[in-house]
Amino acid sequence: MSDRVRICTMAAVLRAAVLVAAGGCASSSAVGELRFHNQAPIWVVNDRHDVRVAPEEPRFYLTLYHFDGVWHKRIDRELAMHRVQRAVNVNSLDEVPDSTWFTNRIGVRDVSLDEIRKGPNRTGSPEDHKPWVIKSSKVGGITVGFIIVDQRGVRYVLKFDQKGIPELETGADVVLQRILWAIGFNVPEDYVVQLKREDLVLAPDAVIKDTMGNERKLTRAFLDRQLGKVNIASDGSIRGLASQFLPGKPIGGHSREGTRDDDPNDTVPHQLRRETRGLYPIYSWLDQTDVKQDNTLDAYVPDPGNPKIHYVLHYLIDFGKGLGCMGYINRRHWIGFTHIVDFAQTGASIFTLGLWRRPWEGRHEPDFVGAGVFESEKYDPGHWKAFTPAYFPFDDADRFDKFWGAKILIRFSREQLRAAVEEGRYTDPRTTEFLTRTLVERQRKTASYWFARVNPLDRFEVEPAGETSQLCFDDLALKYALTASPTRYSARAFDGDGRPLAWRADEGAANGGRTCLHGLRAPGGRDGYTIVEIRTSRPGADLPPTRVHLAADPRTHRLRVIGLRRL
Amino acid sequence: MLRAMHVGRARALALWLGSVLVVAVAGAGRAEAQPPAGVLHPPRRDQPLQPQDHDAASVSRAPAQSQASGVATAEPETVGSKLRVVPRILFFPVRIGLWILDAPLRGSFFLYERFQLRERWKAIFFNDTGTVGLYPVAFIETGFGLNAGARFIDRDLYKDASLKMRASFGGRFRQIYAAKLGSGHVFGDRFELEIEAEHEIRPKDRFFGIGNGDKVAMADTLIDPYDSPIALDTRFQQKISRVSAIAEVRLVGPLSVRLSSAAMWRDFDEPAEVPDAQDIGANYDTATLPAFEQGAAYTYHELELRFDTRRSASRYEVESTPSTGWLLSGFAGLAADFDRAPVDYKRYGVDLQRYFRIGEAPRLLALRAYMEGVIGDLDADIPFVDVPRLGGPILLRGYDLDRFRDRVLGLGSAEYQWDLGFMLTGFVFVDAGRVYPKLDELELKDMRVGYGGGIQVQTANSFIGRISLATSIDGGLLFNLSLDPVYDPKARVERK
Repeated sequence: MSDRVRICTMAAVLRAAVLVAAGGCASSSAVGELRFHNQAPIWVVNDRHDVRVAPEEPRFYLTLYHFDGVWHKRIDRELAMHRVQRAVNVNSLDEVPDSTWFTNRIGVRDVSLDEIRKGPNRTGSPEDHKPWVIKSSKVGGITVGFIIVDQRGVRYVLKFDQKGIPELETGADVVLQRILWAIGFNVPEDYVVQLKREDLVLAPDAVIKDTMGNERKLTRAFLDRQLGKVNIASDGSIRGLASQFLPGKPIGGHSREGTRDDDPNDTVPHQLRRETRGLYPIYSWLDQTDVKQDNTLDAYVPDPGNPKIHYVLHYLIDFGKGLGCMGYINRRHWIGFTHIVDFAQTGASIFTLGLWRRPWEGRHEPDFVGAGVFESEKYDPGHWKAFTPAYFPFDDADRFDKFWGAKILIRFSREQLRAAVEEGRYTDPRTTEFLTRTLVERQRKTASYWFARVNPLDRFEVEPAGETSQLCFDDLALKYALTASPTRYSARAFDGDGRPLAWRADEGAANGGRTCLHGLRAPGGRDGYTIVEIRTSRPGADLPPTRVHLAADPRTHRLRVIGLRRL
Repeated sequence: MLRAMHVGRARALALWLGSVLVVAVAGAGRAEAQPPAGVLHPPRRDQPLQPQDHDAASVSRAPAQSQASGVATAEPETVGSKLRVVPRILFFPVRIGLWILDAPLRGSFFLYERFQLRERWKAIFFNDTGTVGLYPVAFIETGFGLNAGARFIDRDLYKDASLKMRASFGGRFRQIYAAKLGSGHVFGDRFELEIEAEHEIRPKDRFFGIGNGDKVAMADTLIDPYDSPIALDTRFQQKISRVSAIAEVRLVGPLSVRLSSAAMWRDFDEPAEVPDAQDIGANYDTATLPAFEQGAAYTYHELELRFDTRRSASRYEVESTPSTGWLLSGFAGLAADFDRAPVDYKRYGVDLQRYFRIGEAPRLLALRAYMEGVIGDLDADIPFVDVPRLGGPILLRGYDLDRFRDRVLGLGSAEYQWDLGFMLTGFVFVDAGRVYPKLDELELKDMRVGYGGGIQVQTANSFIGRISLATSIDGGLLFNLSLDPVYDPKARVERK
């Protein structure tokens, strides 16, 4: 190629690059290009279309899963330079509509103490329907467990605390189950149960199952041997956790990225779902470090209203390692602070010859039965780490996802948390008190952290005020008394084309955290589309603004909130 | 006839009633009452449908997920996002390389779990409870290639007594056959007995002469190692057959006694498959080495008294790495021949260890002073392989294995260990020691000093191994992989 041609080619490429860059940079609007339809926000989506053929249960290889999560796929994802994206399944208010993954509960309505205590449990405890018939041993896992059927024919997995550590896992499981249900996730019916040896009866065809599918007869001697590995009180009582089998056909956990090919309702890649990403602050709060595919479970279920229709429901399961239990059982103080394989921390420790004091050093736990390594003093909501880094939605979660999770978890009152903890049926009242107190402290720490990273304004509403309107909102940081700093809000308005309007506001925060900005008028044209950009000013906090999109309701002609963009 | 019929019927009725009675009584007398039929066969029903806030009908008019965002016009893709295609293209070959590199490991993990190799292995080679197994083993040994064999284990003979046997064959010059019987808790918690029988061919053991001499490349004449401290790196072959018994008696608290006895047969020869320059016979006068030419058959008995308070200081620190406590140990042994070359010596020694926990997790300092000596005619009644020796991954790290041998050895060691996280411990150490011809010549002059560091792998309860890099004031760099804990080495009867 001649020099002249080479120069001309390079110039053309440069011109194209400049054009692309210019095209990307130039914006015709001071408030961005995002616009919403003039409609009420969507709070429910239909992902319950009939799936005629049950999806296959994919094979799950735990070691490969973790190897990929720690090394191979983690690096491959970085090299793939995939686009950093916000969660895609949110509605116009940056909230999650109800679906087969999530149902808004405490985030949008009050949840009574009775509801907290009951959670999803509707069938009633098997404790009232003994004796239980053992059908088989539990397959997989390292702890003792059986598949049992109570006198009503309802099937459960019966699990126990490890010997010498009573109440720990069974209590934690039930507490987390209640809380996660109240937040909105699908969880199984879990019950703490008390039983005695004579309450367990072997079915004539009871079998021991191994992971290869082999079966051999489950004998009384095997049962006695297994029960010798669990805690038995002096009066012969045994505490267990009965987790009811989910309805329908289990088809394995949800993958950490992508969708299920044979489920036409599964259209959003899992790593882009707000619910999976927003679990991060919730799990960090609860210290549920055991996060992986097989601690979720999808079930191909018949529709309760029309059993001829089937679809997949997505559950979270197995919460017995939360509330610091994993750290206590595994005798590791670092759980929640570092991954099991953490090259950065190991490398830092090597190069400093151990002189670097790691964040988790100095942790203590109380000497109460049922209490794990669970504390709030060293807890760092922004740097909490699951046991393994294998769950990619946590990697992809951004501050908006975490803000979403934080603003749900902060809604739990102390009484509600106490009600959930009491379901753990801890024999030592100090354990109940300790767990409740620590949950509250961690809750506030979590919310404070994420409310300092996203403008914590929420629950926007337009209220008529004579001839004008006022835009009201909650400042979550003030509402939940997470800060007492003097706060002011400054706001500007723009029309639908992004042209600034004359209206401005500069208000101090009202008592109670709910503030209204007055004197809004809808501009002419285009349904009165208005964008209000609100900045929050607090000493020491430099938060990006929030843009609230308003438009006139076609029926009432009044301004309403149709969309939200957090920056 | 009618009367007969009536009598017959009555008899039959009586018989029937009687049999019913017998059955009833027999049933009542059974040791365990059967639960009512309904218990074993509870009513079958489909798993109850959980209540849902929504069902197909209630959401039938709801939009699809793709329409939930309400977005009419989305934010355009940023320049940065668009330009990501460039590094994506550039990194594509790197990704291919990563996939290729990781393929064997990923494939192994996949096969291991897909075909459940561990369970299949156990199913094939072990019994149902996993306590008895006979399985093949194979490993590659540096310089000798493949070594293959089998192992048998029975972990549950009686009250957790165990029997282990192994045999492996790596050619004419590398064979191991061993059997070990452990008593477990047969004799209670205070007394444990281990009996082992072993035969091993070791083709390339090392010999650097006797004394604290510096290493030289070659010598002009054959050296009498008991007259000259010249150290040459040579090899020899050894065949060991041994029957040993080790009994451990826990007296009170941390105080225990270890009694060990062994009958040993040793034969020596020139090494297998080494250059002539490393042949022991080409450098040292093997006629001067006690037992080299005749071999040795002798017994060794030893009594060791131990005071051991070493332990981990917290339930969150692994038990396999103690972080505090003392080990005070003194031992005395006696060797006497029953065939072949004369063997007649006494062995004595002390081992003092102190662990200081200097930080959480833990961070600790382990200090050790070790002394060992033999009494007897060094160049006549003590097989040259039994002379106390320093060098290797346990005693005097930074030097070759068995680098120094003489009547008495003294060693001091300081090691700093710190937790690195899951299953890993880092360590750095300094070892200083030397060998002496006589006990009264023990002094700190001309010490050999080795230093280095590495990483130890352990589970919560067991030491697994160490990799280390060490050097010394005399130069050299040694990489070592050791499966023996430094501060809890094998009993002297087990050493080779």
